[in-house]
Amino acid sequence: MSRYGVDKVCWHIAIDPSLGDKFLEDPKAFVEGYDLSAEERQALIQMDFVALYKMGANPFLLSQWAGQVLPERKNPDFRDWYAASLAPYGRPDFAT
Amino acid sequence: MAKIVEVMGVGHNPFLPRLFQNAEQYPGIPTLKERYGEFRQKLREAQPDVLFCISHDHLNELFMDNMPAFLLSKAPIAEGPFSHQEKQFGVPHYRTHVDVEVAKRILEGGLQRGIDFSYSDEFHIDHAYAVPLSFLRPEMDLPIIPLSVNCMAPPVPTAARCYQVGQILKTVLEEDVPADCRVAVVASGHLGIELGGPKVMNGPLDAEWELHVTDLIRQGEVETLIRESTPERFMSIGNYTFGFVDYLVAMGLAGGRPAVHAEPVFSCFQTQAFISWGPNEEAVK
Repeated sequence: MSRYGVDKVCWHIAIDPSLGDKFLEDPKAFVEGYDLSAEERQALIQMDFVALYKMGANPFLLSQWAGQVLPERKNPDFRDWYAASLAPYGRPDFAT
Repeated sequence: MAKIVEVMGVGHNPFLPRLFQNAEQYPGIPTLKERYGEFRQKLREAQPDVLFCISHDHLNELFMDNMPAFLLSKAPIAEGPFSHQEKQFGVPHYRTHVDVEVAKRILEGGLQRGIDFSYSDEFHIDHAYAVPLSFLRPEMDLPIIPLSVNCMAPPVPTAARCYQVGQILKTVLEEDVPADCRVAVVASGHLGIELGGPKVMNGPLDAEWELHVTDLIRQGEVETLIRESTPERFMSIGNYTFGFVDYLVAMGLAGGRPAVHAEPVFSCFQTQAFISWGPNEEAVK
Protein backbone atom coordinates (compact mmCIF):
# COMPACT_ATOMS: atom_id res chain seq x y z
CA MET A 1 0.00 0.00 0.00
CA SER A 2 1.45 3.36 -0.96
CA ARG A 3 -1.13 6.04 -0.01
CA TYR A 4 1.19 8.47 -1.72
CA GLY A 5 0.16 7.24 -5.16
CA VAL A 6 -3.53 7.72 -4.36
CA ASP A 7 -2.83 11.19 -3.03
CA LYS A 8 -0.95 11.99 -6.22
CA VAL A 9 -3.87 10.98 -8.46
CA CYS A 10 -6.23 13.10 -6.34
CA TRP A 11 -3.78 16.00 -6.26
CA HIS A 12 -3.36 16.11 -10.03
CA ILE A 13 -7.13 16.26 -10.49
CA ALA A 14 -7.55 18.78 -7.65
CA ILE A 15 -5.13 21.31 -9.13
CA ASP A 16 -6.23 20.81 -12.74
CA PRO A 17 -10.00 20.31 -12.94
CA SER A 18 -9.82 19.46 -16.65
CA LEU A 19 -8.24 16.19 -15.56
CA GLY A 20 -11.45 15.23 -13.76
CA ASP A 21 -13.17 14.83 -17.14
CA LYS A 22 -10.20 12.91 -18.44
CA PHE A 23 -10.42 10.55 -15.47
CA LEU A 24 -14.12 9.98 -16.09
CA GLU A 25 -13.55 9.15 -19.76
CA ASP A 26 -11.40 6.18 -18.80
CA PRO A 27 -10.48 5.75 -15.11
CA LYS A 28 -8.40 2.64 -15.81
CA ALA A 29 -6.26 4.37 -18.40
CA PHE A 30 -5.94 7.47 -16.22
CA VAL A 31 -4.39 5.63 -13.26
CA GLU A 32 -2.15 3.53 -15.51
CA GLY A 33 1.10 5.39 -14.91
CA TYR A 34 0.74 5.83 -11.14
CA ASP A 35 2.52 3.74 -8.54
CA LEU A 36 -0.42 2.05 -6.79
CA SER A 37 -1.17 -1.21 -5.05
CA ALA A 38 -3.71 -3.47 -6.78
CA GLU A 39 -6.22 -2.63 -4.07
CA GLU A 40 -5.75 1.12 -4.48
CA ARG A 41 -5.93 0.92 -8.27
CA GLN A 42 -9.15 -1.02 -8.09
CA ALA A 43 -10.71 1.40 -5.58
CA LEU A 44 -9.81 4.39 -7.73
CA ILE A 45 -11.23 2.80 -10.88
CA GLN A 46 -14.43 1.87 -9.07
CA MET A 47 -14.52 5.31 -7.42
CA ASP A 48 -14.82 3.60 -4.04
CA PHE A 49 -14.04 6.68 -1.95
CA VAL A 50 -14.93 4.94 1.32
CA ALA A 51 -12.28 2.26 0.70
CA LEU A 52 -9.71 4.92 -0.22
CA TYR A 53 -10.58 6.92 2.91
CA LYS A 54 -10.15 3.83 5.08
CA MET A 55 -6.77 3.17 3.47
CA GLY A 56 -5.59 6.58 4.67
CA ALA A 57 -5.84 8.80 1.60
CA ASN A 58 -5.37 12.50 2.42
CA PRO A 59 -9.01 13.44 3.16
CA PHE A 60 -8.76 16.96 1.72
CA LEU A 61 -7.36 15.71 -1.59
CA LEU A 62 -9.71 12.73 -1.68
CA SER A 63 -12.76 14.99 -1.26
CA GLN A 64 -11.56 17.23 -4.09
CA TRP A 65 -11.20 14.24 -6.38
CA ALA A 66 -14.61 12.93 -5.25
CA GLY A 67 -16.19 16.32 -5.93
CA GLN A 68 -15.09 16.06 -9.53
CA VAL A 69 -15.73 12.44 -10.38
CA LEU A 70 -18.44 10.84 -8.23
CA PRO A 71 -21.83 10.53 -9.95
CA GLU A 72 -23.47 11.93 -6.78
CA ARG A 73 -21.40 15.13 -6.89
CA LYS A 74 -24.22 17.21 -8.37
CA ASN A 75 -26.77 16.28 -5.70
CA PRO A 76 -27.61 19.20 -3.39
CA ASP A 77 -26.88 17.08 -0.30
CA PHE A 78 -23.59 15.72 -1.66
CA ARG A 79 -21.46 17.19 1.16
CA ASP A 80 -23.65 15.69 3.91
CA TRP A 81 -23.94 12.35 2.13
CA TYR A 82 -20.18 12.16 1.59
CA ALA A 83 -19.43 12.91 5.27
CA ALA A 84 -22.11 10.46 6.49
CA SER A 85 -20.61 7.71 4.30
CA LEU A 86 -17.28 8.14 6.12
CA ALA A 87 -18.72 8.46 9.62
CA PRO A 88 -18.39 4.77 10.60
CA TYR A 89 -14.64 4.88 9.91
CA GLY A 90 -13.55 7.79 12.12
CA ARG A 91 -10.34 9.52 11.16
CA PRO A 92 -7.71 7.09 9.84
CA ASP A 93 -4.07 8.14 9.92
CA PHE A 94 -3.29 9.81 6.61
CA ALA A 95 0.45 10.45 6.93
CA THR A 96 2.20 9.15 3.81
CA MET B 1 16.11 47.06 14.03
CA ALA B 2 12.77 46.51 12.36
CA LYS B 3 9.73 47.25 14.45
CA ILE B 4 6.94 44.71 14.85
CA VAL B 5 4.02 47.12 14.82
CA GLU B 6 1.21 44.55 15.00
CA VAL B 7 0.79 40.78 15.30
CA MET B 8 -2.60 39.40 14.34
CA GLY B 9 -4.25 36.07 13.66
CA VAL B 10 -7.33 35.41 11.54
CA GLY B 11 -8.84 32.53 9.53
CA HIS B 12 -9.18 31.99 5.78
CA ASN B 13 -12.53 30.38 5.00
CA PRO B 14 -12.57 30.57 1.18
CA PHE B 15 -16.36 30.83 1.06
CA LEU B 16 -16.38 34.15 2.92
CA PRO B 17 -15.82 36.55 -0.01
CA ARG B 18 -18.97 35.19 -1.66
CA LEU B 19 -20.94 34.93 1.61
CA PHE B 20 -20.14 38.53 2.52
CA GLN B 21 -22.19 39.67 -0.47
CA ASN B 22 -25.35 38.47 1.32
CA ALA B 23 -24.00 38.31 4.85
CA GLU B 24 -27.36 38.87 6.59
CA GLN B 25 -28.68 35.58 5.26
CA TYR B 26 -26.22 33.46 7.26
CA PRO B 27 -25.93 33.18 11.06
CA GLY B 28 -22.67 34.64 12.34
CA ILE B 29 -21.45 35.92 8.98
CA PRO B 30 -22.28 39.61 9.64
CA THR B 31 -20.06 39.46 12.77
CA LEU B 32 -17.21 38.02 10.71
CA LYS B 33 -17.58 40.83 8.18
CA GLU B 34 -17.56 43.40 10.97
CA ARG B 35 -14.46 41.91 12.63
CA TYR B 36 -12.53 41.84 9.37
CA GLY B 37 -13.44 45.53 8.97
CA GLU B 38 -12.14 46.29 12.48
CA PHE B 39 -8.94 44.33 11.89
CA ARG B 40 -8.42 46.11 8.58
CA GLN B 41 -8.61 49.40 10.46
CA LYS B 42 -6.26 48.09 13.16
CA LEU B 43 -3.74 47.08 10.51
CA ARG B 44 -4.00 50.45 8.79
CA GLU B 45 -3.43 52.29 12.09
CA ALA B 46 -0.27 50.25 12.71
CA GLN B 47 1.17 51.85 9.53
CA PRO B 48 3.22 48.85 8.40
CA ASP B 49 5.72 48.97 5.53
CA VAL B 50 5.57 45.22 4.99
CA LEU B 51 3.26 42.34 5.96
CA PHE B 52 4.82 39.10 7.16
CA CYS B 53 2.12 36.57 6.23
CA ILE B 54 2.21 33.23 8.03
CA SER B 55 -0.14 30.51 6.85
CA HIS B 56 -0.04 27.23 5.00
CA ASP B 57 -0.37 26.19 1.39
CA HIS B 58 -3.27 23.75 0.92
CA LEU B 59 -1.46 21.26 -1.31
CA ASN B 60 -1.72 23.63 -4.24
CA GLU B 61 1.86 24.74 -4.58
CA LEU B 62 3.43 22.11 -2.35
CA PHE B 63 3.02 18.34 -2.34
CA MET B 64 4.46 15.34 -0.56
CA ASP B 65 7.13 14.84 -3.23
CA ASN B 66 9.07 17.55 -1.39
CA MET B 67 7.23 18.87 1.64
CA PRO B 68 8.95 21.59 3.67
CA ALA B 69 8.07 22.15 7.32
CA PHE B 70 8.76 25.90 7.03
CA LEU B 71 9.07 27.55 3.64
CA LEU B 72 9.90 31.22 3.19
CA SER B 73 9.10 32.87 -0.11
CA LYS B 74 11.44 35.36 -1.70
CA ALA B 75 9.72 35.24 -5.07
CA PRO B 76 9.48 38.86 -6.28
CA ILE B 77 5.71 38.70 -6.83
CA ALA B 78 3.04 37.19 -4.58
CA GLU B 79 -0.01 36.31 -6.60
CA GLY B 80 -3.00 34.05 -6.14
CA PRO B 81 -5.10 32.14 -5.50
CA PHE B 82 -4.97 29.44 -8.15
CA SER B 83 -7.52 29.61 -10.96
CA HIS B 84 -9.39 26.50 -9.78
CA GLN B 85 -9.88 28.19 -6.39
CA GLU B 86 -11.10 31.41 -7.98
CA LYS B 87 -13.68 29.39 -9.90
CA GLN B 88 -14.66 27.07 -7.05
CA PHE B 89 -14.97 29.67 -4.29
CA GLY B 90 -15.03 33.08 -5.94
CA VAL B 91 -11.92 34.16 -4.03
CA PRO B 92 -10.76 37.50 -5.47
CA HIS B 93 -7.37 37.67 -7.15
CA TYR B 94 -4.59 39.20 -5.09
CA ARG B 95 -1.29 40.46 -6.46
CA THR B 96 1.45 42.37 -4.75
CA HIS B 97 5.23 42.52 -4.43
CA VAL B 98 7.35 40.56 -2.04
CA ASP B 99 9.95 42.56 -0.10
CA VAL B 100 12.79 40.38 -1.34
CA GLU B 101 15.49 42.25 0.58
CA VAL B 102 13.73 41.78 3.92
CA ALA B 103 12.87 38.18 3.00
CA LYS B 104 16.57 37.47 2.37
CA ARG B 105 17.51 38.98 5.73
CA ILE B 106 14.90 36.81 7.45
CA LEU B 107 16.14 33.73 5.60
CA GLU B 108 19.78 34.36 6.44
CA GLY B 109 19.07 35.48 10.00
CA GLY B 110 16.81 32.48 10.52
CA LEU B 111 19.46 30.05 9.27
CA GLN B 112 22.07 31.59 11.56
CA ARG B 113 19.78 31.52 14.57
CA GLY B 114 18.42 28.00 14.19
CA ILE B 115 15.62 27.78 11.61
CA ASP B 116 16.51 25.50 8.70
CA PHE B 117 14.10 27.21 6.33
CA SER B 118 13.27 25.94 2.91
CA TYR B 119 12.88 28.82 0.51
CA SER B 120 11.22 29.47 -2.81
CA ASP B 121 11.90 31.92 -5.64
CA GLU B 122 8.62 30.92 -7.29
CA PHE B 123 5.91 30.65 -4.65
CA HIS B 124 2.27 31.36 -5.48
CA ILE B 125 -0.12 32.26 -2.66
CA ASP B 126 -3.30 30.24 -2.27
CA HIS B 127 -6.56 31.24 -0.58
CA ALA B 128 -4.98 30.98 2.88
CA TYR B 129 -3.11 34.19 2.02
CA ALA B 130 -5.42 35.76 -0.58
CA VAL B 131 -8.60 35.58 1.54
CA PRO B 132 -7.29 37.36 4.65
CA LEU B 133 -5.28 39.84 2.57
CA SER B 134 -8.31 40.70 0.44
CA PHE B 135 -10.17 41.65 3.63
CA LEU B 136 -7.32 43.19 5.62
CA ARG B 137 -5.45 45.01 2.86
CA PRO B 138 -7.63 45.14 -0.26
CA GLU B 139 -5.52 48.04 -1.58
CA MET B 140 -2.77 45.51 -2.50
CA ASP B 141 -0.28 48.35 -1.93
CA LEU B 142 2.04 46.76 0.63
CA PRO B 143 4.78 44.23 -0.04
CA ILE B 144 4.40 40.95 1.80
CA ILE B 145 6.66 38.07 2.82
CA PRO B 146 4.86 34.70 2.82
CA LEU B 147 5.86 31.90 5.17
CA SER B 148 4.21 28.51 4.71
CA VAL B 149 4.07 26.06 7.63
CA ASN B 150 3.16 22.49 6.70
CA CYS B 151 -0.34 22.01 8.15
CA MET B 152 -1.79 19.76 5.44
CA ALA B 153 0.45 16.72 5.16
CA PRO B 154 1.23 15.09 8.51
CA PRO B 155 3.49 14.76 10.33
CA VAL B 156 3.45 18.52 10.85
CA PRO B 157 5.79 20.63 13.01
CA THR B 158 5.09 20.49 16.74
CA ALA B 159 3.43 23.30 18.64
CA ALA B 160 6.62 23.81 20.65
CA ARG B 161 8.72 24.17 17.50
CA CYS B 162 6.23 26.57 15.91
CA TYR B 163 6.33 28.80 18.96
CA GLN B 164 10.13 28.62 19.02
CA VAL B 165 10.33 29.51 15.31
CA GLY B 166 8.14 32.53 16.07
CA GLN B 167 10.48 33.57 18.90
CA ILE B 168 13.51 33.27 16.62
CA LEU B 169 11.73 35.24 13.89
CA LYS B 170 11.05 38.00 16.42
CA THR B 171 14.77 38.23 17.19
CA VAL B 172 15.64 38.10 13.48
CA LEU B 173 13.21 40.91 12.64
CA GLU B 174 14.27 43.06 15.56
CA GLU B 175 18.01 42.51 15.20
CA ASP B 176 18.85 41.50 11.63
CA VAL B 177 16.46 43.56 9.53
CA PRO B 178 17.40 47.19 8.79
CA ALA B 179 16.05 50.04 10.88
CA ASP B 180 12.90 51.97 10.04
CA CYS B 181 11.15 48.95 8.60
CA ARG B 182 7.72 48.56 10.16
CA VAL B 183 6.55 44.95 10.00
CA ALA B 184 3.03 43.70 10.73
CA VAL B 185 2.53 39.97 11.19
CA VAL B 186 -0.66 38.48 9.71
CA ALA B 187 -1.05 34.81 10.63
CA SER B 188 -3.90 32.77 9.21
CA GLY B 189 -4.53 29.36 10.74
CA HIS B 190 -7.39 27.20 11.94
CA LEU B 191 -9.50 26.59 14.98
CA GLY B 192 -11.62 23.43 14.73
CA ILE B 193 -11.71 22.30 11.11
CA GLU B 194 -12.61 19.16 9.19
CA LEU B 195 -11.94 18.83 5.47
CA GLY B 196 -13.27 15.81 3.63
CA GLY B 197 -13.94 13.91 6.85
CA PRO B 198 -16.97 12.55 8.69
CA LYS B 199 -18.01 15.84 10.32
CA VAL B 200 -19.82 18.51 8.33
CA MET B 201 -18.88 22.04 9.30
CA ASN B 202 -22.30 23.60 9.68
CA GLY B 203 -21.28 25.19 12.96
CA PRO B 204 -18.44 24.98 15.51
CA LEU B 205 -16.76 21.58 15.69
CA ASP B 206 -15.87 22.09 19.35
CA ALA B 207 -16.94 25.46 20.73
CA GLU B 208 -15.64 24.63 24.20
CA TRP B 209 -12.11 23.97 22.93
CA GLU B 210 -12.21 27.06 20.73
CA LEU B 211 -13.18 29.26 23.69
CA HIS B 212 -10.53 27.55 25.83
CA VAL B 213 -7.60 28.11 23.46
CA THR B 214 -8.55 31.70 22.69
CA ASP B 215 -8.74 32.32 26.47
CA LEU B 216 -5.24 30.88 26.83
CA ILE B 217 -4.01 33.14 24.01
CA ARG B 218 -5.59 36.15 25.71
CA GLN B 219 -3.87 35.18 28.96
CA GLY B 220 -0.51 34.53 27.30
CA GLU B 221 -0.53 30.96 28.65
CA VAL B 222 2.15 29.67 26.28
CA GLU B 223 3.18 26.61 28.27
CA THR B 224 -0.37 25.33 28.68
CA LEU B 225 -1.13 25.88 25.01
CA ILE B 226 1.98 23.99 23.95
CA ARG B 227 1.34 21.16 26.39
CA GLU B 228 -2.24 20.73 25.23
CA SER B 229 -1.54 21.12 21.50
CA THR B 230 -0.88 17.46 20.75
CA PRO B 231 -1.59 15.80 17.38
CA GLU B 232 -4.10 13.51 19.15
CA ARG B 233 -6.01 16.43 20.67
CA PHE B 234 -6.13 18.27 17.34
CA MET B 235 -7.29 15.13 15.50
CA SER B 236 -10.03 14.51 18.07
CA ILE B 237 -11.54 17.89 17.16
CA GLY B 238 -11.18 17.81 13.38
CA ASN B 239 -8.84 16.27 10.84
CA TYR B 240 -6.87 19.46 9.96
CA THR B 241 -7.15 21.25 13.31
CA PHE B 242 -3.34 21.06 13.59
CA GLY B 243 -3.49 24.21 11.40
CA PHE B 244 -3.84 25.95 14.78
CA VAL B 245 -0.03 25.98 14.99
CA ASP B 246 0.16 28.95 12.59
CA TYR B 247 -1.09 30.98 15.58
CA LEU B 248 1.71 29.63 17.76
CA VAL B 249 4.29 31.01 15.31
CA ALA B 250 2.50 34.37 15.64
CA MET B 251 2.46 34.04 19.43
CA GLY B 252 6.24 33.54 19.37
CA LEU B 253 6.58 36.67 17.23
CA ALA B 254 4.57 38.53 19.87
CA GLY B 255 7.01 37.35 22.52
CA GLY B 256 4.38 35.16 24.18
CA ARG B 257 2.62 38.08 25.78
CA PRO B 258 -1.14 38.10 26.38
CA ALA B 259 -3.20 39.04 23.34
CA VAL B 260 -5.16 42.28 23.40
CA HIS B 261 -8.02 40.53 21.62
CA ALA B 262 -8.62 36.81 21.08
CA GLU B 263 -12.04 35.65 20.07
CA PRO B 264 -13.60 32.70 18.27
CA VAL B 265 -16.38 33.95 16.00
CA PHE B 266 -18.99 31.23 15.66
CA SER B 267 -21.12 30.95 12.55
CA CYS B 268 -22.94 28.42 10.41
CA PHE B 269 -19.48 27.36 9.10
CA GLN B 270 -16.20 26.55 10.81
CA THR B 271 -15.24 28.97 13.59
CA GLN B 272 -12.86 31.79 12.68
CA ALA B 273 -10.32 33.25 15.12
CA PHE B 274 -9.68 36.96 15.53
CA ILE B 275 -6.53 37.58 17.53
CA SER B 276 -4.49 40.73 17.99
CA TRP B 277 -1.40 41.08 20.12
CA GLY B 278 -0.90 44.74 19.19
CA PRO B 279 2.60 46.18 18.69
CA ASN B 280 5.68 44.65 20.33
CA GLU B 281 7.17 46.62 23.19
CA GLU B 282 10.19 47.67 21.15
CA ALA B 283 7.87 49.18 18.54
CA VAL B 284 6.16 51.44 21.07
CA LYS B 285 9.40 52.98 22.45
